[in-house]
Formats: sequence, C-alpha cells, structure tokens
Amino acid sequence: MIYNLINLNLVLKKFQIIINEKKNKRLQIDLIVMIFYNFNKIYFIDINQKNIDLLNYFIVTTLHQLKKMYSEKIRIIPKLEIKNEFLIKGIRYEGLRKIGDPVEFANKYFDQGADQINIIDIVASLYSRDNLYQIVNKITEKVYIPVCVGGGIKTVENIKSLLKCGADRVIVNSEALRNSKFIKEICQIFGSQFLTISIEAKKIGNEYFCMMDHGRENSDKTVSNWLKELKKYDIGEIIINSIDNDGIENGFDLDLLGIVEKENIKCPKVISGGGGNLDHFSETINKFKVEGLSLATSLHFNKITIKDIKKHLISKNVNVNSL
Amino acid sequence: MKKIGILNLGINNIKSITNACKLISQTYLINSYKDYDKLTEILVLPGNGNFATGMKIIEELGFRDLISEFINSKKKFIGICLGLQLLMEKSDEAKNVKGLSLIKGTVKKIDSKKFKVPLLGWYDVKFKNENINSRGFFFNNGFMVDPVEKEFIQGEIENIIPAYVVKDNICGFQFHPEKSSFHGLDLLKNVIFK
Repeated sequence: MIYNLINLNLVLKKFQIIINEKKNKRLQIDLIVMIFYNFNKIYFIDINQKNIDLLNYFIVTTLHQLKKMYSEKIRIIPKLEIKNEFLIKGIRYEGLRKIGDPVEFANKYFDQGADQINIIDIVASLYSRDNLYQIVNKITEKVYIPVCVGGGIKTVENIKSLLKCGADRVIVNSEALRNSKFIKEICQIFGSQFLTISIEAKKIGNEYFCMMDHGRENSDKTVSNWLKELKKYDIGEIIINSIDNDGIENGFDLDLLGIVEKENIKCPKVISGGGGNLDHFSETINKFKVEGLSLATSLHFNKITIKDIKKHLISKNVNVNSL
Repeated sequence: MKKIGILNLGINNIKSITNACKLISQTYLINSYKDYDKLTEILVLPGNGNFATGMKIIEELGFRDLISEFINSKKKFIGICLGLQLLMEKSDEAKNVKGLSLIKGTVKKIDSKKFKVPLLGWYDVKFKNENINSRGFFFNNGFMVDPVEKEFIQGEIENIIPAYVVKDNICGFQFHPEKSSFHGLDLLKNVIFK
C-alpha cells in the first residue's frame, strides 16, 4: 500500500495510530520500510515485515527530520480590502459592501492573534493613493505584527512611500503581470523577501487565468504558466486568491491549489478565498502544503474569530502560533 | 522611565520599533552622531537587509564610535536582526567588510537543507532562561550569527539558529520582537527594564 502524504499533521496522526496500536498490542503491525522524503512529499510503503525496532527507528528519525523542515508556523492572515477610506467586501470581487473603518478591524484582528495583516486597496490604481497611506500609517501605529500592503503598486516611489507609512512588505499583482522587470527591480532594491506576488485566479472554461486590476481584466496568462515564469525570480511569497470562491465561504479552491502544487514553488504560499468554517482550514492544511491561510468575509461578519481557527488547528496538531 | 535612543540607519522601516519603544518608555530617534543625548540609558540598533550597506551607513553617520563608547559605558545596548549581525566581526554576506567586532564570531548563511531560506515567518524560540516562555517569534533573515563563545547564545530555533544573544550589557535579537505580537513587546520590555 502506498500513501502519498503531503502534510506533517497527517504523518503525525499516522504515527500516533501506529504507536497506540503497538502499545495495546491489539494489532500486529505491518512495517513501514522505506520513507522517501523530500521537501514536499512523503511516501510510505508498507510491506509485510514485523520489526518493531526498525519501525521505531524510522519514526524517530523521520519525526526529527520533519520537525526541522517544518518548524515554520502556519499563519492566519486577515485580508482587508479597502476602497477610499472604507473596509469593503464583495462576492467574487463584485457587489462591494461597506463594512467599516479598516483601522478598527486591523486592531481587532491583532488582538485576536493574527500572524500578519494584508491590506489591499482595490482602487488605488484608479484614484489617489493618499487614503491608503493614511490608513497604513494608522494601522502600523498599534499593530505589532507584519503588515503587508498592495493595490495599484507600479513604481519604486509607491513602495518607498508605503515603507514610510510602516508597511513591512508589498503585494504586487497587475504590474508584475504587465511588466516582469518590475519584479527584478523590487528584489534588487528592497530584497526578495520584501515582495509578495498576488495571483488572482478565475476559472474560465477549464483553465484558471490570472486576472488584473481587482478582477476587472484578464491577463490571458494561465496560473500554471505564470507560476512557471515566476520560478525564475527570487520571490518572498505568493498569495493565491480564488476569485470564484471569494466571499462565498464554501471552502478554499482545492482544484486551484492542486494546480499550484504541481508547479513545485519553493517560496511560501498563502491561499485566500472561500474560508468559511473551521473544517475548511484544517482540510486545506491536511491536503496541501501552504504556509498561510487568508480570509476576510467570515471574520468581518464575526462568524468566526482567529482564536477559533487557531484553537481548531491546534486541536488537529497543526503548527500554529499559540494564543 | 529610561531614555531609549534608536539609531536610524534610514534604510528600512523603523516605525514599528520606534512605536514599540514609545509604549515602553521615553524614546527618541538618532539620525546622526549629533542627535545623541548623553542621558540615553538604552541604545537600540534595528535593521534589516544587507550587511555591507548597514556597515557603510554606520561609518558614514559616525555611529561606530558612538556604539563602542556606549557599550563601554556599561549601559544596555540592543541589536535587532541586522543590528545584531553588525556586532560580529565579519559576515559571509560581504566578506571584505569589517563588522563592529563587539562580539567575537561571524555571520553565516542559514543552511537551506534544514530551513527555508530566507527565514520569513514565525518560528519557535527556546530560551535558556527558564523565566522566558518558549514561543513563536517573527523572523525575516537569510543569515545568522555564530558567536565563538557559545554561552552567549541564550535562545535558539531547534538548537541551530541563534535567536537571542546576550553578552554582558549587549542583547541581540535575531527575530523582530516589535513584530511578534504582545509576547514580543513583553520580551522587549523585560529586556529593557532588566
């Protein structure tokens, strides 16, 4: 039997079962003989041998190795979409509703134990950016976790202004798709860890396409082609937003994540769009290797809190920052 | 009240550390040697980025002597991220550049076989001092310090990456306490008032 396990959590569970069974001596255990281990995938091959010492050896060494490789914690990231001075939220990027003051919401999520806050100004490319600067300035006064900001960033000057407002990293989508030299420029001046690329994916026919300008325009690039291109650069992080699942709280887009997983991207990945109930979070973590989970609607409308999500993930043995 | 001075290298975001220190005590920014106030009781060197750029700015702004004099006066000095790395003798990031050499040892690239490099995210730090809880802190660095005298290492990730370094009146954080939520602020406060 071959298990293809991608996640530490599942592996730990599997080990736990084996260990319990051994203790109770209820079952004879078929030995796991080989563990092919690379950064993304863990394969177990069971064959019928009965050697407990060898099994123990594998458990100890693999756990040791895993612990080292996976010591980065899964981040829970509230996403604040901003239009003018308001926090807004839509469904599939349309039908935008005013929710309230973004600064208040950022403070609330910081209190709840968020690991990072992402701010996206959805009209900054169309109108003046001053609103965004003011909001970021106010948020970073009281929020002592990383704050990442995006929306209409086109120039190094834009980035410098955001830095002055206290932003820790920038999130770029449209301009990177239009002009990939901009990616290089940012990495050279600010360092690769400074840049997060946002992908806004929409399913058209059987393909996922990268959308630009908050979903208003199609770049005609498929997600897999864009990811292949991005591999050439040293990027700090990639956020994968599903436009189709945005605001409908029916779970993260796992088909989209499957496509991303195939490209074997090295930098941290954050999934966004669709997280509604607690099981969506643990399911996604169990199936795919992502470093961050981002959400908006269910937090803004007080349906769940970051504390709830973290408690749930801790109960599932996921490595998150404790409360 | 203790007066905290923050050395501004002008290359990165120092708003968070400034605000964090303001929450804790009286705080002012030092943009060049002449801004320095002799009543300063705590000197903080924050920073993120390239070792060579950091050293170049320190020399230009006349901070080298300021830092050495301050440390000799036995008052508390705090280095954060690049600010800790600059205290070492040299770095693999810029082999021809001499560091401040206040702690014996070098700065090395983090082993990419064991960690995702650069470290960017939250990692558990285990402290040797039992009074400090081991928790997740926010890291953002591709290099780590490697002091010759290992007893200076007071906190680590997985016994591999030094995260908290203490030598007499010098304290260094490899992570960002000012970006590590409430427990990060608490730790910073404890170090300042200890």
